[in-house]
Amino acid sequence: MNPWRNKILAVLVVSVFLFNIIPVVSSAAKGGTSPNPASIVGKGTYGSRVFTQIISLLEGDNIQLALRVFFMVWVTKSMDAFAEDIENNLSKYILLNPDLRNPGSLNLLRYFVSLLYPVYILAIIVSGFYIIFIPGSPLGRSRAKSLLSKLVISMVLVSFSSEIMGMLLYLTEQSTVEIIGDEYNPSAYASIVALEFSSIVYCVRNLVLLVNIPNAFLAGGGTIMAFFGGILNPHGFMYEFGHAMHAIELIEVETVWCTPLILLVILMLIGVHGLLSIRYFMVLLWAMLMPFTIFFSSFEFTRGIGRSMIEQTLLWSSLQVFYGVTIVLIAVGITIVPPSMYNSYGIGLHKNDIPYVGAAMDKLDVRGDLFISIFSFTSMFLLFLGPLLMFTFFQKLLPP
Amino acid sequence: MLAAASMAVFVCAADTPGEAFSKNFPTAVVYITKRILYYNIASGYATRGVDILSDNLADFILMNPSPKDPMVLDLTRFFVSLLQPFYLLAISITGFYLLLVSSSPAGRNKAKSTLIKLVISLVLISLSPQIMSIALDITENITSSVLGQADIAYYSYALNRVIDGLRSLHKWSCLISIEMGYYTFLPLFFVVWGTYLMLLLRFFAVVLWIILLPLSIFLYSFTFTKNIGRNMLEQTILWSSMQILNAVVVAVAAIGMMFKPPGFMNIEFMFLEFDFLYFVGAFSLVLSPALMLMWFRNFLP
Repeated sequence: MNPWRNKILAVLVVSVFLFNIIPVVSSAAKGGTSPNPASIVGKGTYGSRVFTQIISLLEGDNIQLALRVFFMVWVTKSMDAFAEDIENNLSKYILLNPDLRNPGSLNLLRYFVSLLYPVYILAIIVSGFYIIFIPGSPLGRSRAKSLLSKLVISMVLVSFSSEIMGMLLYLTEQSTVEIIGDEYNPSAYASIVALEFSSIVYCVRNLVLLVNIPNAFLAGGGTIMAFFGGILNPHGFMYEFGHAMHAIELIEVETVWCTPLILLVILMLIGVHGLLSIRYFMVLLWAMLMPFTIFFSSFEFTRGIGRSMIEQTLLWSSLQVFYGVTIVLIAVGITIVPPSMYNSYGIGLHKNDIPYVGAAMDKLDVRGDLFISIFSFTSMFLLFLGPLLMFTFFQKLLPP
Repeated sequence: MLAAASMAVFVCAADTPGEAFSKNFPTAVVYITKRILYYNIASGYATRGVDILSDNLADFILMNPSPKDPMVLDLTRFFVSLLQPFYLLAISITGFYLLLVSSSPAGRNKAKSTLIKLVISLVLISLSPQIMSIALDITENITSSVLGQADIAYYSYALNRVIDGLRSLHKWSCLISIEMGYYTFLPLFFVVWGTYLMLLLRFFAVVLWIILLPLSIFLYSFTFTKNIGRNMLEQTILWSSMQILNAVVVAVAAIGMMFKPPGFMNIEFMFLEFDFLYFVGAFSLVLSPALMLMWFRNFLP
């Protein structure tokens, strides 16, 4: 930590100590003969009461109320942003492949290719020397000839590695477009799934707000009553009732209790944004390593590594198509489930089951329900399981 | 705050407003101060050393133990001295078989090839520090040249940007609830400490495999123990070459982050901006060892 931060921390620690001592000292000093500044301020006047109530807003309950309101606003804004992002961009994120023609990629590719050229040239020279000058067995000479032709073909393929990878990505992208439509005209399947996932996010938002609103209303009402009650009559009913409203523990819900709900949304973000970002990077990585993939696949001794690299290249590129198939699977699954089953099993409540809440939500045009069906929940997990299943089942897809 | 606290002590005899001030202001300040304190301590702990990491990332990636370090050399020689009697015994038995036992030509050929393998293997284990030294020089040079093509400065910038975003998230979570701050502490912690852990884990793993190289060669030389020896040699090669993969991952992550389409995987709300691609890019060095060990297996004959 830097020295300034240490100093600030030291001041804060001392202040905490001091402020904890003040109430003790003040209660001791109260009985003494210290001057009474109330006589200077004007005890009992409206001015001093307003000033007092403004300072009273700093009490712990009001700070908690302010933080709770901030939490509700934060959750609302963030969930709205996530939901809109998923609704508008799900197809785009699945379809997007890294551009291999940008200067950075081309630079790195050319560098890797330039590393391999000398190896190829040396191998071609040695094979050529063996064929021309060394009198070997016919089997040895035919092996040397086939090696020479493999080297030449391999060298040509390495030179075109970015175009080969580009073609592969074009193929997977077009296959996925056939399944889920393009980013401007997504198919019905993609739209259904995007709406389903965004509705999960809206549901979580609504549930978090629902559990916090009663407390916020009570605390807010209590603050307002205590504030104005304190101005009108510091020991009156309004003032005392305002404080009592803060003390109602019956529906006290800590903000941190909403964490499991927020974790649902975080899981979805990992499944959609996280895995698709990882795929984007992996495709770029394997595109950059394509020259080495071709090189290692060309020789008997390194064929094992080469085969693993080809498999990974194909799997990560094809993950796009697999995501498209997963999207169709989710859309069909959700569509054919009987509504009675869909609405019976899940997390949360149906908004129309709570008096006035459903009507209020409809009137305020609040998006989403308060109920997350187990089918939606499971479809979210398919986003994780899909890639895992693909990599498990198609691990050794190439022949040895 | 100290001055305000002192004033509050002397005004506290009043009913209001001084009493209100002395009752409420300390509570509010303590409430907020606790959270700010926790945020500062937790985020300071989680991001300890991030400046050193981002300024010296290339050095951390290029870091290799020296096989010729006296301590490492002592341990390597210990293993060599442990194995040399086995070799001498095996060579003696094979030589005895060849010279004095009359057997079939196939048996004699097999014994001859075994003798040659034993001698080569013995020479190799005696030269294992030099072999490892050459191997690490090669990987270091390749890594250095790959890092020369990578925009490490951009990677460090992206790492710091991700850390700042996570710190902001952690700060506001702590203000709302300290318990919520526990959860937002974790991604911050894993990005920084995870990167350090993986880079240093590689260093220690390479030390281990340098010391065990004589044993790996010994086990690989005999048919009976070839599988174990092969696995050990593969691990030696993988952990040494992980340096190259780290450099490639940094280069690719920097390119991916720099040339990503605008708005891709980017979500903004209130005063926070969250870029998933940058987060995954910053996390890539944490994941690279696992990827390498997963992808490259059973590649030796």
